Order: sequence, then C-alpha cells, then structure tokens
Amino acid sequence: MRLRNKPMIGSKSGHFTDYLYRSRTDRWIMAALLIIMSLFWIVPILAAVDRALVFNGWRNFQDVIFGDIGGITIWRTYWNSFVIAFMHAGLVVGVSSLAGYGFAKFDFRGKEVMYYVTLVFLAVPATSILVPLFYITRELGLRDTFLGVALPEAALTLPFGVLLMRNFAETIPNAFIEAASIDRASHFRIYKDVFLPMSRPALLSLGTLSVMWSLQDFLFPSLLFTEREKTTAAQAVLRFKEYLGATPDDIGRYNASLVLLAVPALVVVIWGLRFITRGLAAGGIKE
Amino acid sequence: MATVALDNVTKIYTGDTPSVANVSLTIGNGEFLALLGPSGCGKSTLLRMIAGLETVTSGELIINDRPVSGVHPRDRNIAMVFQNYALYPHMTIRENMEYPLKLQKVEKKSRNLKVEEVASLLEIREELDRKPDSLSGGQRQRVAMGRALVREPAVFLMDEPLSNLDARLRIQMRTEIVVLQRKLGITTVYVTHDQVEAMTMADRIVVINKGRVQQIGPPTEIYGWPANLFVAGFMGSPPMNFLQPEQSSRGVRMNGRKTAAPGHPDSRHVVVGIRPEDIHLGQADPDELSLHGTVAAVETLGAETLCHIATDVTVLTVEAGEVIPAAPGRNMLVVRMPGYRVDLQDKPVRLRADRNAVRFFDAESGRAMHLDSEDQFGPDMKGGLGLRRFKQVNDDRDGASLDGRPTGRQPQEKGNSK
Repeated sequence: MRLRNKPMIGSKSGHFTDYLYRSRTDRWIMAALLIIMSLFWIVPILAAVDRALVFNGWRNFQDVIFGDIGGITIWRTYWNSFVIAFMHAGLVVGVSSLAGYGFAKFDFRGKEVMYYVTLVFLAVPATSILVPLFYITRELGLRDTFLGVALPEAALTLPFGVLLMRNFAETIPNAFIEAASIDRASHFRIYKDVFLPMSRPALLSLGTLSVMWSLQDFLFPSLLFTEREKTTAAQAVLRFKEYLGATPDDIGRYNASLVLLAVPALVVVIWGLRFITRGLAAGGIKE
Repeated sequence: MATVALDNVTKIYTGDTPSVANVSLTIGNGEFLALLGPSGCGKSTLLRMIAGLETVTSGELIINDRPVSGVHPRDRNIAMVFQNYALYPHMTIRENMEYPLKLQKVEKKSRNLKVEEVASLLEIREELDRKPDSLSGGQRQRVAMGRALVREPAVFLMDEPLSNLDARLRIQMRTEIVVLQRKLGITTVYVTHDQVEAMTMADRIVVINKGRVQQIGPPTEIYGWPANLFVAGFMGSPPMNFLQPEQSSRGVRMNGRKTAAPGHPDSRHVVVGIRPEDIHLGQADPDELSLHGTVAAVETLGAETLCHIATDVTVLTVEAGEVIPAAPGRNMLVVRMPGYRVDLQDKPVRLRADRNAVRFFDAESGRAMHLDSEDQFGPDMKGGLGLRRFKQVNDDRDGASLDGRPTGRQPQEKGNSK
C-alpha cells in the first residue's frame, strides 16, 4: 500500500486522516463491499415493505394497526413482548451486576472455577434444554406466564451478562470500594451507592441488549405459551400466517404485519445503540 | 487524636519473602510520620495494613491502646486519602463529603453544617455542587482531604496524595497539608517515594527498603546521619558520594591523610561517604580531607551548579545492596556549589571536605560506623551534629534505627518496644 501524507483530523482543509493509509482505489473497493453487505440486510425488509404495498397500498398497514388478526391485535403482541423483555432485562441486569461485582471485587475459594463454569454455558444452545425446560416450567406452574418465558431467557443470557459485568467491574479501581469501606459502608451499601452508579454504562448496555434479544425470541414463547392472548411479536409472525390465507389482500396484510412486528426491536436498537457501544467499549480499557 | 503502635508487623503474600518484615514503631499523638522508600518497598502495604485494607500476617497493630489487627476498616476510626483521590464520580462534591456522615446516620442539618465548615477550611465552598470531573487536580485533592476530615478521624492516612499533581501544585499542596495537619493536630501517616515531600513535611521519617525499616528519625537526622548505605544513597539528590579509602593497615586514609582515627581493622572494608554540598573548592587545611580532579561536566540549576569531577579516588556505587567500584576512568565525584559556575568546565580543581561532614560505612554490612562505636572516630568526629543524640538513642546497642525500633527521641513516644 502506498503511504500518503494527509492532513490531520481537525485541520483547516477539513480532511480527516485515514489511519489505514489506504489509496483511493482501496477506499472505493472497501465502500463497495460495505454497500453489498448492507444490501443483504436491507433487501428482505424492502421486499416485505414492497409486498405490503402491492395490493391495497397503505390500507394493509391500517388494517394491521387498527384491526386484529385471528383475535389478537398487534398492540397486544407488542405489550406481551415488552413485558417479557423488561422482566428478562431486569433479571439479567440484577443478577449479572451482583455476580460481576462479586467476581471482580471479592476473593473466595473456587472463584475462577465458578466463573469459567458460568462462561461454559455461553455455548449451550437453547434447543438442547427445551425438553427439560418444558417439564420444569410445568412443574413450577409457570406455563403460560410471562415469568415462565423470561426466566429461561435470562438463564441463557446470564453467562454473557456476567462476563460483561465482571470485565467492567475490574476497570473500576479498588480504591473506590476501599474508600467506601473506610467510610463505614457495608458491602451492600458499596454495591448500591458506589458500584451500581459507576457501572451505569455497562448496565444500560446489558439492559438494552437483553431487551433486544428477548424481543427477537421466537423459541421460548412458542414452546411455553398455549394461550392466544400471550402471543408475542416475534411469535406472531407464525401465528398470523395461520390465520391469513393466500389471497392478495391477506398477503398484503401479512407483509404489513411482518414490517410492523420488526418495529419494536428496531426502535430499541436505534434508541439504545449509544449505550450498547459505550458499555461494551467501556470494559475494554483500563483507566 | 491517637497513637498508633506497630509491634513486629509482618506481611507475607505468597512464598517466604515478606513484603513487610518485622516493623515495630510508635507514632505519637498528633505526629506527622512519613513512610519513605522506593517503589515496591512495602510502604503502601504498611499503610494499608494500618487502614485495615490488608490483613496482618503476624505481629500486632494498636491504635489508641486497642489491638486492631482483626478489626474492620470502618471500625478503626481512621480516614484515608488515596493516590487517585477515589472521589465518587457520580456524586457532587457535597455528596462526596457528606457520604461518610450519611453512613453514620448523622442528621441532614448537622451533615450540612459539617460539610460547609470543612469546605470553608479547605476553600472549596464554591465547588460543593460540582462533580469531581469538573475540578482541577488540586481541588480534587482538597475534596479528598475534606471527605476524610468531616469524620474527625483519630488517624489520617495518606497514600502518595500529591503524586498526580504537577510540580508547582505539589509544592503548594505540600505546604497546605502541613499547615492543616498542624492546625488540627491529627496523627498522620503519609506514604511517599519523594524524599523532598518527606523531608519538608514530616516530623519523623521511616525509610523502608525491601519491606524492612532502614532508619527512623527526624528529617535532619536521616539526611545528616544515615544509618546505612541505602539511606545515604537514597536520601539527597544527587545522592551522597561514596569513595573507597586507600588500602592501608593504619586506619582509613584518603590521599595519604587520615580521615578518621586509627583503630578500624581494615580500610578495605570501609566506605567513605560525603554529600555533594560538603565538598568545596580550595586547598585543604591539614585537618581537612583533600581531593583533586578535573571537572568533566557542569550542570547549572540556576542558584547552584552541580560539577561532575573526574578523580583518581575510587568512587563506589551501591546497587542492590552491593558496593561496586566504578569502572576505570569513570570515577566521578558530584559536587554541589553555589552560583553559576560554567567557567569550571574542563578545569583541574582542588577540593576539600570538612571531616565532620564525612560519614563512614562498613562495606560488608552497609551499616554506618557511628552507630557502632564512638572510638572509631577521630576526636573531631565526636562533636558532629546529631552524633551525640544518635549515640544516646542507640545506647541499647541494638542499632534501634536499623531494626525498626523507635529511636525514642520524640517526647510523645510511648511503648518503645524492646
């Protein structure tokens, strides 16, 4: 690659420094590749929007928004999804922050073994625990309850949460904990008054990711909900299809519902993107 | 206010090598004691043990006659200022300062009054509603002290609190801390690797190396009468010049002149130490030490000049406890002289040093000879500053300053463990 002299960031010429020292051709090739990659994500969504507008145009969207499909409104599915998502996020954030604090700031026998066992569960696929989960939730009377879905979701997200929170907690200098300890704070007060407020970026990031992942979960609601009123937005993709036929009208409505069902997760991501990037990056640098 | 006593305090993390070994000392009521030593010498570990942030492997820690080795930090009635200040970034300065009082369940009105009072004392009242990240280094330092002061602790611990400040601010804060400490009279233990801080601030200095106390004493004594080669080399910038006397069976001699009374068994086992400021230009009187050489380099510092003088005398360096002669042709004496003396560059010079300013060390043990026997010094050595006092202190012949026992000089000291 050729090395080129370029003005620095903030220079009066307005150019920025390309720290990879790429040539003009390199930059064009890279931009083209990025555009092609983004098409893979954008084209299916555009196709759904296009098909939703083929027959009846925007009326398909109005029908989905103001009507119901097979006895359930899209608003009800949003509500169900968000209730589960916030329960899930609350569980994950609460337990991960406690675990992260404990793993990072306390020494106890078997600490590292426990930590690595926790991380091993990152590799466990949800499908492998479906059958036992089915029976466990039945025995506990959690079938057809929001908590019954939020709990197993949280169990699968927790290893990541613990990893993130421990990494973040280790960047918080021990002096803060020690200062509070000398100031006569109990362990719980230190956790509540010092650790939690200082972990805000990581907690927001973990919370946002947890909400997003739960909104996208199709498997657990499908397995554990039998009542129609409990249908979540992700699950509704399939359930709506059962009620809508192959007529042009229904195909339009179905595609409109597909686009609308993707909206909550998109809104959460767009709103929470700054927290996600800030929180994940925060664990990487020790100050 | 309180006294703090350490009795044979030892800290071992792993293996057999102690990070802090058998430290015994007593800190008097209202005393300002500095723990001084190079990085990794164990001074911060010692402070953290006093704070309760590290456990004590063996020995006993006593605050106000109460053994506290197993007591939680919150129950020791101490306050600590950390190197990075440890101000809670999400709280305002007011919240930071009142946090310890809040934990003590002091009611809001009293909390406010106390915070305002301490903030006025430290001149940070205007900053009370700001967050720590909007303050300068000096202001943060004051807030950290304020947070410690609101609790009215019995003992004030400071772990290199000025090391994050720039040079000018450090000098200013140094004075402020000393004035405040004198005003409040709180027993203070101050950790630093900066000898200037220790010299200017402390009532007494504890010099530590490799976890062991090397010497305890007032700054003038530590500087003037170092107990061993480590202290002599560590204190002072530039450090003391170490010279090898001539091989002679007739006592310690330099350039054919006796530098001390005969009696020492073998001059090969003696290291002669002279501070750079104790060597002067000029012809030596018969009772003075005489040296000569050529000025190889001149460093001008404004008010004074450091001359590096190539000499025939063998100059020694002390590294990792070993006395090593300089390579041939690299025998450089450092001399500090007043004024701006670039004119001396490359000039041959004659040097003289008062015998009272010369210190002698055993090359094997590194121990200062004035600690062992008065007889080994010439008559003119006996009247030297501090020597008599030192002899009194060490009359127990155990070399108190070397093994970490208190020198017993401070009137407020009690519990001189023996």
